[in-house]
Amino acid sequence: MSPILILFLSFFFLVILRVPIAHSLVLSSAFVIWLVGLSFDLIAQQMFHGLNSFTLLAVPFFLLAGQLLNVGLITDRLVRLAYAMVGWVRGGLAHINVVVSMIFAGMSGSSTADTAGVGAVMIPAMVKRGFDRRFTVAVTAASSTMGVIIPPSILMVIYGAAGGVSIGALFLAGAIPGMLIGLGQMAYCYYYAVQHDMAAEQRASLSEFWAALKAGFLPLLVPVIIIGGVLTGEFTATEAGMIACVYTVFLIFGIFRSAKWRSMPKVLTEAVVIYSQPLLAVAGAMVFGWLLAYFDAPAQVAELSGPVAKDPTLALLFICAVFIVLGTFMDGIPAIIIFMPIVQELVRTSGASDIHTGLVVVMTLALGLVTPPYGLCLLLASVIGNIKISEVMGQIVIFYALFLAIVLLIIFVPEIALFLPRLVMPQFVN
Amino acid sequence: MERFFRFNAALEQICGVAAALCLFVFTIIVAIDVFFRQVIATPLLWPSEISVSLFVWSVLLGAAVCTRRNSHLVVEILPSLPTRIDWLLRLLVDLLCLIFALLVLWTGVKQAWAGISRYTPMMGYPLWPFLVALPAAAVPMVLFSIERLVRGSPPGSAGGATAGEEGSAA
Repeated sequence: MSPILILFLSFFFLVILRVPIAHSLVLSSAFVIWLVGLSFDLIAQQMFHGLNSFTLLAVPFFLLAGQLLNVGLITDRLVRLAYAMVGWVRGGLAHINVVVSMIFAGMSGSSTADTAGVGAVMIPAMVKRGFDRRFTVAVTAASSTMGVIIPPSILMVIYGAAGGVSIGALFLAGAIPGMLIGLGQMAYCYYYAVQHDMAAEQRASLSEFWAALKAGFLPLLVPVIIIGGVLTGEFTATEAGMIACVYTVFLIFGIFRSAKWRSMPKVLTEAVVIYSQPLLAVAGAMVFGWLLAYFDAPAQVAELSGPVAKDPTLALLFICAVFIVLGTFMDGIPAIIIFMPIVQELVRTSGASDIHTGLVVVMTLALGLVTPPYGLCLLLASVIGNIKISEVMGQIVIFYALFLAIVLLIIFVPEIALFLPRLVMPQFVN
Repeated sequence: MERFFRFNAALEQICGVAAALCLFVFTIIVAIDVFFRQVIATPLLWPSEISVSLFVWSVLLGAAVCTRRNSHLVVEILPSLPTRIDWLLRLLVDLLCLIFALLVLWTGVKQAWAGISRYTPMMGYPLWPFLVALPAAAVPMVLFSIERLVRGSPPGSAGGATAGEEGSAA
């Protein structure tokens, strides 16, 4: 049996036994290292090498930014703003849920922080207003997926760092598709509201609108700073994440005084515990990925996939299918690190755009956030909504189909993704 | 045994606080870096290596905390049942986690030892405080894994906490 096959089989075997992903990656690698007689020193070397990267610091920063927005009740301000913007549409609260997630996505790079923050406010509000619990939880989970598609995005940072692709261009590529998803979800919410006879909220008066805008203005500068800074090249994505954190700290402790300094140690500890899980898996994935490259897996996959490796659209459909399966079972961050060499090989042989490919990978992995058994946003939303995941599935499937349709649209019409990057930073598109 | 458990509880606290402190400090270091470059226009050289190193420390210490809390990312394909087989399976998983920690400790110590007379590429700092993060975090991981083996997983809990309880960065 080829070492590559043994590597994958032992990995999946361990994962099925419920060994943590990071541990499975290292243990299956260690097994193959022992089998073929390589040096075990590889383990520490590659784990250290994998973490020793400045770009990865963006993960804690964009996560911490999301946590801070929630602790400082900034999410409430965004809800108020969204209320004034779309509350008057039929099924008002559902639209507010989607719009708040869109804005939140522009401030934090994390979908789960989005579910936690927006869900805590919107799920009780929607249930109280008479929305079906299943629909409420589904909307909350599905709209959070925009967190990693609308810039900034932790997954795009990882993809850019692992694949040597411009993170700024990836961010730009995500903007239009992310908004398309938001609009698509709002269209379905409208249809649902008409079907179930859900009313609109009261239309905000001009003065109410003005007040909501004023309350939300300072937080809204966060996405402006992040995107502006990265696009002008003034600072890197990692630094933008830091600035988002520092600015949010300044807002919630200095200006709004909506959180207490005492809560800071808890926020920091919680953030570390959350980001150390996927990042330990990144360290493990480096060992695994090193072995894959050593045994020349990318070339073999490209060879095996025959005609798929020659045509950009076919290659993207193939990558999309593979990452749908991966996203269902594992975290997006290690999935990208492990399979990056294979994706790059397919990009090379098929001539697909690396930015277009990166966006498709990130979107497909975002889809995995709402599918069991490893759909983190769905899990979190159903915990907040106090409902079993199996009951939500009926509604989630609709959002899933909608999302998948948009991914396919983007695969077949690359311009949707590439229009903005081409316009602003043409030097990075091909 | 009780003393060992109490020691581990304290160790978990220390790891958590140290990891959070690392996060706090590297955030400030990156802020200083950007401030000096953008506002004062005097780029500094030292921040990048130090901040990345603190980040590595924070990830590994945080991972040690997750080992004791049993909150590492697990894929729940097999449903967890209150059966004997399930109990044996959990024992096996805990044993494998211990082997993982020992592997990291062993190769980490070797790497740190080999790096004792090496220096960082940019600033020429001694390399070992950077490399020692891996074995240093592996020690609590080993202790916590042994504790989990001795205690046996608490009844009703699966091989790991459900992913939703702790969440993920993405």
